[in-house]
Amino acid sequence: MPTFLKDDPTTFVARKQGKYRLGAFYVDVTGRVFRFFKTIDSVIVKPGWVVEWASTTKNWVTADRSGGTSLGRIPAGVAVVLVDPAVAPYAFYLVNGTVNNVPNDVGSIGAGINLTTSATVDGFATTAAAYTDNAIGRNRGQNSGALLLNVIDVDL
Amino acid sequence: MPIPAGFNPASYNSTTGTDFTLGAYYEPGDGNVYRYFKLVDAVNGTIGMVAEWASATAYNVTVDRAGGASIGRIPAGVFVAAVTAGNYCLLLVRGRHAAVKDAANALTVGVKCVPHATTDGDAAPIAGAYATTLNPFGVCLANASGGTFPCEVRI
Repeated sequence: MPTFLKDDPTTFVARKQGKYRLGAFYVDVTGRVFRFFKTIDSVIVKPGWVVEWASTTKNWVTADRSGGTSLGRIPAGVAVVLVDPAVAPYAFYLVNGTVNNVPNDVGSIGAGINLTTSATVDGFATTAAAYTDNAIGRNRGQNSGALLLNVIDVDL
Repeated sequence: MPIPAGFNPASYNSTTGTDFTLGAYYEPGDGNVYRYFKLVDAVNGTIGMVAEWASATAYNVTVDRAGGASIGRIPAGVFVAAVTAGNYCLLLVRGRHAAVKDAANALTVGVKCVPHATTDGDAAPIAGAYATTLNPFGVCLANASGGTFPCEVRI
């Protein structure tokens, strides 16, 4: 279903929208699925950070959890490249597939626990406490090389 | 797959069902994804209504919440065009819808949406009586007002 993505989403960022469609789905050579978003607000998004929806009408996202334009704790994707909204705000965000460097504001989180977006820490995840929380995906455990980073099967 | 030239999900309402493959997914290039269905029962689909699956084996959907062929509170897609009962349609299954129906204005920002149990085509928040339904079709992006709300659809 998604369009094949020729550019590498782990390096591609753009100053302008260019040839890609905002909000559209793209699949890379590994089978991971991405969506193309514009990143807004001033917070620089790091790889592994979770972004939230920032517009009810446009495919805009933000990692700013305080004072930004986030609509609420509604995850839109996970960054796989550093995105500076002031320089090159257009990037691909992971919506389906594995990512191994999602930071959380809790500490160690067990495998199988659903994660949602942190209420206070920019770009971080936290445990989803209730069925009403909007999950990013399923936690597969802590990254063995960096214990506070989670390995997540993203499902957005 | 892309939608063939000349077809627009926002106006598609066909009696023939031969334009697309039933159950298949289509992308017109606007960032949204649509799926091809047949609308059964006697209730017409209007823009913003949520359809439920109406068959375990065919790609039939319905917006009739009382007495129709619905097989449960299982969302199939959201209408982006007015569709006559008995016709074929392209329903939104991924992406943004500006005005999903919620006559009770019960949805608030960040809350998951499920098909309303009794009001034809409407949505409801996944809470209270709906907590055990657990078949959300998207997330509300702003508090419902005037009987609709913007939704990031994900089915």
